[in-house]
This record gives sequence, C-alpha cells and structure tokens, in this order.
Amino acid sequence: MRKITFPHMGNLFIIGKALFEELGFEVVIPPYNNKSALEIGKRLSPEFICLPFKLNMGNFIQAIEMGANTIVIFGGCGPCRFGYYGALEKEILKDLGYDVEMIVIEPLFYGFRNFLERVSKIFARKNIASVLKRVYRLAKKVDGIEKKVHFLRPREMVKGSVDKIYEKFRNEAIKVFGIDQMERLVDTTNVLLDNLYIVNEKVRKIGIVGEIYTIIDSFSSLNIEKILGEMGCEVERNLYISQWIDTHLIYPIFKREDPIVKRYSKDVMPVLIGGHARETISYAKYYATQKYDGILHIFPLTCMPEIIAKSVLNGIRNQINIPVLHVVIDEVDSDVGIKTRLEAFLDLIEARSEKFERGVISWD
Amino acid sequence: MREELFLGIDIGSVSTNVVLIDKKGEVIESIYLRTQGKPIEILQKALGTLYEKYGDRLKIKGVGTTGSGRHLASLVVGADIVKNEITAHAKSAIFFVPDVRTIIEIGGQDSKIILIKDRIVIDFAMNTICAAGTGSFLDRQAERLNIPIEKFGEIAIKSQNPVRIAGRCAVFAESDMIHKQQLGHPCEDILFGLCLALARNYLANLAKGKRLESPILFQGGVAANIAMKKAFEELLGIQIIVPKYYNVMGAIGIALLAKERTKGLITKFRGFENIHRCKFETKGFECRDCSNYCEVVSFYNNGNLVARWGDKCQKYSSNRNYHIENSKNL
Repeated sequence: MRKITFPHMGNLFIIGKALFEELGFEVVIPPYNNKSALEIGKRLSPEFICLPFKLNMGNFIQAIEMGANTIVIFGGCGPCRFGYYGALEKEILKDLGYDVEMIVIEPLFYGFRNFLERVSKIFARKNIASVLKRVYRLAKKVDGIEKKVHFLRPREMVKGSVDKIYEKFRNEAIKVFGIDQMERLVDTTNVLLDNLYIVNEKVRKIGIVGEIYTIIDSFSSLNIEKILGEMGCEVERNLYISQWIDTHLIYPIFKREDPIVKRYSKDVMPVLIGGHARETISYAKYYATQKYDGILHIFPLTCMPEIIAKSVLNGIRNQINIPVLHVVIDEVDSDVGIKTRLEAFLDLIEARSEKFERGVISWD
Repeated sequence: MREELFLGIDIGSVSTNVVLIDKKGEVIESIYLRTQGKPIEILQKALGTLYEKYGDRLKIKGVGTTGSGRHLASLVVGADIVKNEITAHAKSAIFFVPDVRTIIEIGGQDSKIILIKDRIVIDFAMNTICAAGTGSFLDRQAERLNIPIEKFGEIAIKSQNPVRIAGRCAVFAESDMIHKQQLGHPCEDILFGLCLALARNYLANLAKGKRLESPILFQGGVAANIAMKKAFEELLGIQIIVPKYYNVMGAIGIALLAKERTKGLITKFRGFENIHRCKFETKGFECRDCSNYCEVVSFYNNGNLVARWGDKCQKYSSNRNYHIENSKNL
C-alpha cells in the first residue's frame, strides 16, 4: 500500500491531500514546517543549500517516521537548484538507509511521455481528468481564502479574529478526507470570513514578489504577511499555488505565457534565467503601475535567480519609482529583525506619500 | 531647570543610550553604557544616574524608546512612542544636518545605510545575515590584540602601509589577520587593514547599487573609531562628517519623535522613582502545545505578570492569565 507524502509549502498540503486521497492513496502529512523539521534538515543537507531544501528534508524525515513510503515532488528545469532537489534528496535518503520510493515529476518541458510515465505511477485510476479538474478548482478556492485573509487582516475589527479562523481552517484540513469534504470546509471558512466585522481604515498596499517557496510558506518567511497585516497593510503576492499550476502545467500545453510576465519582462529580462526572477521583476513593475505603496522582495540566502532580480530591480528603480525592500531569509529564529525593517519601510512609505501629495519625487 | 524635557532611550545589542533634550532639541545630558546582556538593569541604572544628578528638578514631558530592546524598554519606562532605530537615526541626522543625503550607521550588531532626500528617507538597507562589518567584531579583535577599543582608531590611523584583509566573513577575516600578524606585519597596519576591509564589506554589502551623495554622516558607536572614518573617506573619496553626538543619535532621534508625539498630550512616563523602586523580571519557557515550539517570554513587575510575547498563536500574549499556573511550573 502506497503511503504518499510530499513537502510542505504553505497550503499545498490541502490540495495534495485531497488529490491523492481522491486517487485512492493514503496520505501522510508531516507536521507543518517547524523548528524541529528545520533542525533535522540542517543536519542532513549541504550547508550552503537554500532554506527550502532543508525544510523539505525535515518534512520527509518526519513523514517517514509517521509511516510514509512514497515521496512525490516536482522537479524543475532551468539554472536554479530546485531542479536538483529531487535527485539530491533521493540520494541523501538512500544514504540514510530509508526504504522509500521517490517520484520526481518533471514539468512538461521534458516531453509529455516522460511526464505520463512518472505520473502514471501515482495516477493509476480512471476518471483522472475529472479528479484533476476538481482539484484545480479546489486549489483556486484555497488560494481565494488566502487572498481574502490578506484583504481582511488589516481591516478586521477584533484583532486576531481572521487568523483564528484561518488557523482553524488549516488544522481542520488535515482531518477531512477527499475533495468534497475539503470543498465543504473551504466554503464554511469562506462564510465565516465573510461575516467578520470590518472597519474601513486607510490601509497601505504592499506587493510581495520573490522566490516561490519563501513567499508562499509562512513559516520560512517568519510570518511576514501576518506581521504586515497587523501593521495595517494589505498584501498581494505574485505567486499562489494555483497560479503555479497555471504557469507550469497548463500554460505550456497551450504554449502560452503569463500575460503580465510577457508584457513587463520584455525589455529587462527577455529570457528565462531560472527560478522566478522574471516573475519577480515583471510583477514588481506591474504593481508599480497599479498604485501599490511598496514592494517587498523576499528570497532565501544564496538564491541565484533572485539575486539577479534584486540587481535588476535596483537598476530600474527610477523607472518604476516605488520603494522596494529586499528581505533575505535564512535559518533565523527571531522575527525582531524583520519587524524592524518592515516598520522602517512603512515609515518611509508614509513620509514618501505625504511628499507625493505635494509634488513628484525621484530617487536621485 | 524645571523646564520641559524629553527622554530618549536606545537599547542596542551592545550599548544602552539615554539622552535628555529640551524643547528646542538641545541635548542636556547623554549617557552611554554597555548593555552587557542585561538591558533592564542597565536601563534602571542609567535612569538612576539621571535622577541622582537632577532629582526632582526633572520634568519629563515625553519618552521614546528605540533599538532592538525598544519593546522591553517601553514596558519598563512607559513610553509614549516606540520606533525602530532606522527612523530614529534618520530623524536626528536630519535635525542636526538638514541637507544630509546619506547616513552610514554602524552599531554593535548591525549596520545600516539610510538615503535621504529633501529631508525624507527614500531608501535604506540593513545588513542581512553576516555581522562581519559591525562593532562587535572590531571589539573582539581589539581584545584579541590586547588593545583597548578606545585606542583602536588612534593606533590604526598611524598606519602607512595597511595590509589587505578579506572582510567578507568575520571568521575568515580573523584567520587572515592572524596570518598577517604571524608574518610580522606591524600592529597598526593590521588594524587599519581591518578597517579598510570592514568599510569595503559595508560598501559591497549595503551600498551596492545605491548612489552615496554627500553630505554623508557617520554615526553609531563605531564612528568613534577615527580610522574607520578615514577608511570610508579613502574608499569613497568624499569627506565624511561625524556628528558631535554620533554615539547617541538614535536616542536623540527618538526623543525628538517623542516630543512631536506628546504635543498636547500627557506623557505615559512612569516616573524615575517608580522605575527605580520596581523589580522587573522576565521568565521564558518553550511552549509545547503545537509544533511551533514558540519561546514565550513573560514580563513581571514586582511579581505581577504585565505582558507576554513570543507566541505565534497569541494564546499567551492576548490573554495574560492563560495557563499562568502551567508556565510557573515550567
């Protein structure tokens, strides 16, 4: 009997769990990303690998201890280390003597056959098409909840009420079974969120861009979205799980591209350099045109694509004319440093926008 | 001297600074002490010194706290404003040099660059992971060479022929230094080489891609080191200004902000005697209720629980009495 597990990344577990359960597998969800997972990961990973790898390793070991025997992860291509995650993790687990099968699903760039071959190992069931469709719909809905949480956090009347509902939702999601139950849970959570009292305070809008794992997974970014919400900021980010499905699994079939990336990366980064550097730059430019107050650029230490994106953003800052704060994430336990930077960033935005009302301001 | 005064408190990793300013922003008194890992005690001591000196003549109209210990300090004194050190440093720099464009601030555990235009902050950066370019490192190296940190700059500035030291990482820099020392290079050349390395690291790390316009202010504890100033000047080719109160600029900034904030309001300051009399205590424990393993800190004033923080779920911080018995047992 296959007992499937996969790494955590924000709310990915909700979607993955529903999918594999619907396909008739048992699913093992390791504890949410946490300190002990990171400790395990640090011990087993190459020292200078990026943070997501270490968390992955922690998740795997904790899941194996809970009985998992099959690990499913996505591969990748392009000059970013994520492409080697699967291979390297497989070797490390083998050296440790764990008897697990690792299925690395490569994206469609490598041809449909390769994809089908690997996928067929886990999708051994009929009516796959309808299951996939329903999972996709679920993914959109789950991301919808996250977006709603981002909108409500700075506006809630009773501080902390949004997060209470959201945490409960995440904890319940581990307990329910299959797509239908999950959808029902999502719907009730939506009702709860819609019925919250909100106050129409003046909120600042911050766009979050950066490396996919660290912006989607709140543990690795030290809850930066929540901190911003508490400071009165509405956040929007350029990557959600359903969007990742769109750009990596659906668009390639139709030979399409994210329209915003296509439009805004033309002049500064016309080719893919790996990771999400193009997305970072394009969405930063896009947010600047959409009257956002500031941009937060988050990436793990030693992330090559995002380091390049950082330099590019620095180079075009007169063109986009919006404050950008770069936050580098590594194994830091305390959020004090992040809070200090965010606070100063919001002060900067406040002072700038006052100035804006009196006249235009440029950097140099 | 029963005029209206404002108190600024900056609790950093290495130093605790307290300043008193008057209505016009003149600095009446400034105290610079080492934090020594005991922020509350040192703060009480600093305030005690002020009180002994001036007694009841002090009439505090507003108090602000800043620095990494700002939240703790605000609980101790009852602050009117709690703000990050970047905003505070910019505030005081603009107050003393209104046309300032760049601030280089190097403290004990972090370094910052702040860019200013038309008296507002337009960009800033703080060191991210590595602390190689900060005061603690200089401190440690001085100690290793058995040189009092106050003499560091004086000795280093005599150097004619600075050695080249890799300043990218504190550990590598140290082994580089030891190699050079064993080769027989004179002490002043090594020290100034270190200053240059730190300045280079700062410029490569924080100032990359940013245009450093003059006037440039150099503040923070490390600005006391004249060799560091010289190193920056050599690398940038621009004159650098070290303001008179360089080591307490954060505290002055927050005092100025407190002055603005308390306009027409009554201060929340708890009074020197009160602060002196109270016994503040903190206790920490690791909550095991979920996989986050948060380290929760409880703050006690004379044995009464006043505040709690550190928990992600806000179970403790939102409800002070939650599991109060449990935490005592831990």
